[in-house]
Amino acid sequence: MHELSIALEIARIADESAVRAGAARVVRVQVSVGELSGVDPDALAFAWEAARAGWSRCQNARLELCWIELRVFCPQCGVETDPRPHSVACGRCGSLRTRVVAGKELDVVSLEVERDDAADGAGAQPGTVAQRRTGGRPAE
Amino acid sequence: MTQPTEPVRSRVLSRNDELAAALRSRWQRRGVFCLNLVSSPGAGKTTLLERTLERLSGRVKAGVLVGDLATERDAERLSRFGFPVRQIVTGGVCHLDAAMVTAHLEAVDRPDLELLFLENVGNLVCPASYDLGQDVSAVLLSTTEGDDKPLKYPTIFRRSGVMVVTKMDLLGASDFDVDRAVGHARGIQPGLRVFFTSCRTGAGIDEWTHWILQQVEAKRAATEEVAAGVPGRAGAD
Repeated sequence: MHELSIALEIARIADESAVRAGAARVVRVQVSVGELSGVDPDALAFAWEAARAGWSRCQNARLELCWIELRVFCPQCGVETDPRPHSVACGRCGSLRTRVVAGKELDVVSLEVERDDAADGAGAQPGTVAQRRTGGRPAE
Repeated sequence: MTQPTEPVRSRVLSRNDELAAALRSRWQRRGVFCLNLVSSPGAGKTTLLERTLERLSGRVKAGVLVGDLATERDAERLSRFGFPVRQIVTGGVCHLDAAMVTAHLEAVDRPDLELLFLENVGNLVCPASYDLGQDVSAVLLSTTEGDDKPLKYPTIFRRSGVMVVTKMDLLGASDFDVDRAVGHARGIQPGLRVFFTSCRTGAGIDEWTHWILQQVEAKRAATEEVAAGVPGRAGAD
């Protein structure tokens, strides 16, 4: 059950990103979870309820998980496939000489935040904080 | 108003990864080989380490960090071989992370250190997510477990470079099929190097220890080459 540690990291990243963006609240956090990340999405969603409570800007933030299945590229076939079950073997020829191109992700992909309008007190406005995506780049 | 800000680092475990990268460059600079032992509870990490340290005594400058949820029992067992050992009591946390390793390092890191063992918490799930700056992770699988463990816990086998099949003396006492276990493991990690050991009979321990010493030598040689400015080796292939 390391999902609580993972959830606490997500909350920390979201809160710090909100501070940098000058936002008052995080509305939504999108996280991609790869099949080979070693993280269970249900356990992570459960842990999130506890983790977000510790960060003032994340109290009501929704966690959206995007599950990314394992994909491999086979240099012999020259194609990307879903691998054979329980392996990284090429889905077409069965070769194990493949490269994993997706499925290792554990990334905060994007945040949706709200800002308080300090000037006239008109209330919160939605905004999006751009996040750089690492890993899981689809193969050409 | 939508107002994009500075992009932030987006890997969830970026903070752990930064600490792990610092550890890795520390070992790189000094030519220290770092080996992370992972397995389910009871596969025999501490016993394998005892037999290994016994054979390494006087041959290499090694240190050991051993993680457990509670108690210092493993450190007591491992400190009989003349190497510095430090127990990391995680207090219930199910894995070691790079911050824990960093915090306890001073107890075992001597200036002439050549080899660092990290004995992770017994768990096939959580340790897989945390880089500790190791050169290689070795996953232990005992013959008293299911030979389908690599199918059930693919991430930890995928992230290991070595598999040690332990308790070979008990082969036949259960339905564990060695070929099936190795086949499953290589299906998810084709490059896996496999050792077959028994700490009771001593089978395979010399081969395993010999491999470790080879890795220590290779790491030291690579570091000396970099220090001497030998060009063209890194990334040559």
